[in-house]
Amino acid sequence: MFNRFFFSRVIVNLGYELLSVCRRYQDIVYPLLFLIITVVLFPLSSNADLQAIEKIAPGVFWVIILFLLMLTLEQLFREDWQEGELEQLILNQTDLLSAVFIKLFVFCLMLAVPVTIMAPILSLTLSIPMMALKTLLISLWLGMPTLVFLGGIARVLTLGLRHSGLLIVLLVLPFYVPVLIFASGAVTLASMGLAANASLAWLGVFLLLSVSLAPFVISFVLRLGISDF
Amino acid sequence: MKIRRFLSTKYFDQLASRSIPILAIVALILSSYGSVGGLYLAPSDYQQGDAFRIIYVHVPSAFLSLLVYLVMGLSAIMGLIFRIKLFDMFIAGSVWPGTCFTLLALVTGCLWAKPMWGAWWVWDARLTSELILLFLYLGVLALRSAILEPKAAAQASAVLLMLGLLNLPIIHYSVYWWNTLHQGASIRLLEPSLIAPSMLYPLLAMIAAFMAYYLLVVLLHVRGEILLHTLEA
Repeated sequence: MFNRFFFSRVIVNLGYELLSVCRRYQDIVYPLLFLIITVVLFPLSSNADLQAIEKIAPGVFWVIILFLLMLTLEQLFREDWQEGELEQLILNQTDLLSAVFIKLFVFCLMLAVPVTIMAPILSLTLSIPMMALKTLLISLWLGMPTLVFLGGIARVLTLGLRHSGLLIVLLVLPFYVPVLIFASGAVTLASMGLAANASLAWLGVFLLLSVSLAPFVISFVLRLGISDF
Repeated sequence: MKIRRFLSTKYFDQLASRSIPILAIVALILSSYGSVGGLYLAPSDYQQGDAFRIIYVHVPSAFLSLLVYLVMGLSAIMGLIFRIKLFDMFIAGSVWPGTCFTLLALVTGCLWAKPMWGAWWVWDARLTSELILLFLYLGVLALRSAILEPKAAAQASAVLLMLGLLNLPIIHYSVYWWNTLHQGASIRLLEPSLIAPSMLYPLLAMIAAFMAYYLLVVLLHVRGEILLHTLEA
């Protein structure tokens, strides 16, 4: 796999995936709209009681990110699988790992761009103080790839099933809980003015482990799926 | 005696048919000693009175919930690497007992905590990670029921089980790593335990009885699946 054309193969694949995302603006705009609408629900539902929202705001923000992932994970490998491209990729033994990695990476970018753009406005809506914004953004950039890569594992385990949307959520939520705890903990500490380095370091650990190991698990599961039992 | 013989379903069926009555008798004897010793003979606790006796259900079921997941996880790894059907049968037979043990541990813990310490539930490390274990069990159940082809279901749930094995050290060491409300380990392997012998021995007997019961249930299920496979073949 790591021959002299590896770099150019990766660049071409990456360009192709990014182009397919850019051609459908819905992939970036719909998550943006979802974020705006759901974040606005919380001040509306608590009669604009800002003291009450302030206390739970970091957790609420991260739970909304989790909801976003739950709703969009279903489309991760779906079109490739339905058009038969995924099977061709699986049969191509050398490139499956990098192709899976690039698909997950592009999916993560697709979600991270609207979240990053909207993060300042959303945190204002939820009364997260501005001094926590940097920690919020770092926790998002460390946490979202972890969530996407772990979600990819759950996605390929349920590829082709009927209720795959909810099933992905059921399978992957126990693994999301540590990320949620540390990420909202980091933002809570930062909004109180304390240093959040420990929680962000843990998020970094999860990021490194999941990003490095998930593609192997995903390609293993994909190969299981089309092998003769 | 070659042990590897027993990985084939034929020999394992013979082993299981001989073990099941033995396990049943062992479970009966140990649980009767454990129940009588724990509920009647053991002295009542200095601080908690007679209400501590729920420990004789809570601790064994919590221990079993971890042990069953460990067995399932190791079977999953062995089944995926070596493609041995017996390990898939172990997993199939262990999922429901494991879920019930975890649920029992959580429920008896809540029932114990409310009169003793005033709260049904706290979000400390051990309780939260045990709840995560329950969600892992439920996820495995959901995945197995969603995939119709039995071999594909076995392989997919094996991958999921392997990933969930990470939770087990977190549950076990949570009382050391964090400032938790849950009590630390009172039973020690190589040193004298922190619990009085008259309370300890029934507890160990109950843990062994639960283990024998779990093995009994799994072996019954495995024998049934071996029969099913023999009929289909």
